Amino acid sequence: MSARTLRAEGLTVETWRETRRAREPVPLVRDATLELREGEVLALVGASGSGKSLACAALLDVLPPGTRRRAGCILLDGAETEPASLRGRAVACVLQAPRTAFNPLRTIGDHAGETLSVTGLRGAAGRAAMEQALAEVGLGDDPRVPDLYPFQMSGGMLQRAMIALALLSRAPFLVADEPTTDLDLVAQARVLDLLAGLVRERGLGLLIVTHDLGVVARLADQVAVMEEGRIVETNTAAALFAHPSHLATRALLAAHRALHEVP
Amino acid sequence: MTALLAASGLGKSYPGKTYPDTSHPGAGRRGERPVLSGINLSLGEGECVALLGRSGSGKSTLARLLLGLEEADAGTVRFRGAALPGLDRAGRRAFHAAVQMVLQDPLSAVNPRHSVGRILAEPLRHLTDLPSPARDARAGELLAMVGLDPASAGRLPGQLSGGQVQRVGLARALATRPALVVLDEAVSNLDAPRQVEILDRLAHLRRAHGTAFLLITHDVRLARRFADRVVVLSEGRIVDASPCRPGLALSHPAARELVDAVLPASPRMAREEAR
Repeated sequence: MSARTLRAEGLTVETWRETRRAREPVPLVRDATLELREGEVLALVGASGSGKSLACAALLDVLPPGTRRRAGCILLDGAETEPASLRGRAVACVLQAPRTAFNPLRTIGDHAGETLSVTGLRGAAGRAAMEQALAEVGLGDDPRVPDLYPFQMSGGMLQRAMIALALLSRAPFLVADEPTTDLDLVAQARVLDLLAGLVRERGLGLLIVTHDLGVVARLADQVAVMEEGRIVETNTAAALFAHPSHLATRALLAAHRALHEVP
Repeated sequence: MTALLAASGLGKSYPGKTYPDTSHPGAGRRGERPVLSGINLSLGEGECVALLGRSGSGKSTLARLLLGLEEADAGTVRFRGAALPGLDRAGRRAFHAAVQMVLQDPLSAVNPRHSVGRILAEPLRHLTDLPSPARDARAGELLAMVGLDPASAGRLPGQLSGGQVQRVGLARALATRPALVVLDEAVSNLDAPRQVEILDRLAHLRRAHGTAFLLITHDVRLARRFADRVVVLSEGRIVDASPCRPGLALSHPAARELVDAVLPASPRMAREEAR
């Protein structure tokens, strides 16, 4: 069997401005194409407000109110698919702010139960799957974790728990939107190590959105650079760092390198 | 020479426990969680110090104690030699005008219903004797100082990007011409181009006005780029310290952990490190 792929083709997202005469569309993402392959990490980078998160939201069909997808399609292994049917089955996602992504009134075990009900696992089998997923993200040592509420856990633990829930879905692809931005650097390094391990061992296809080229350097095979809603450059990570061609890429790299040197 | 702001023997506990339970047996009354203990830290006029530590190490609590927003259980904070709790009304006003803070989450640090101009005028109204027209002029000056269009004085925070609101917070902190600005993870969440831009602006302000800075961060790169010296906080104690130049010399495991967590500068280095 050939490697599985998930391809978003020509995604276009817009919002609109009310003018006196009519609704005037304002493009936010313009003709963005992203291709994810099993066992590979694609990083989507760009400055704040460049449209990275919206492109992912369009891929997952979870666009916020006030925006709409005007064009584009999602192909799973080459066949056009309804994005809503992929979510939680072929694609799982991990969000930036773990504290707002969990229901504060539900334990980690409750959240796992919800994910498991989609996969059809129940009872002892479900419990075993949850324990295995928690062990895979390094939360398996403490038997109390499934009974914890989000407020009882640190940001790093919550982000691991969210990745465990993504694993539970058994989806071959994972979209992670700035998964480590809210974590301190030590917690960030551990979460990135965890994601790298999952890509290597499980053959997960990972789309990681980030504004940090350090994350790209650590993890990515392929990189797509976004500016003003357009993907302006796509290349392998090594080639992009060595020979950035677009101005936006060069600006990001210059700032990234400036942070690494002492003035 | 009297220090600008000095903490000696500072300690603080909060009620309640966290998960996992890290309180040591006999660390205090039952259910007391020590957050800081035995902190000695002195900031000189015009000095730039980075306070480095992981989430939960007590950095923000220390900042709150230094600013007098909370009272310490033990030890004292002295502002130009005078203990904080002993300040009279005029002394407190001078202290607040001299020591300002910028917080991590810019949107929650401003009133969403107030225009940027009003946000900037607030500390001027309370902490200085500037008349109203002079306050407006100062607001425009402050916006230019942080690289924002003076016309943005009429806009609401919600109409600006996160990076722009963070610069409004910075402008507000600079409004009273403070001697010290405390930046509590104030640049951590911005992207690299904005981090570099803001740090360069602050370095310029420092040269021009002799403002002292306390940069609170978990990012060794920011500390190294901006500060004169680094102080490392771990589990509520200062465990290591080093000047930034010629290079950071940190040896405590908690400090090494932070240094080692810095992501590689380029993919080639990443592969070599993995080997």
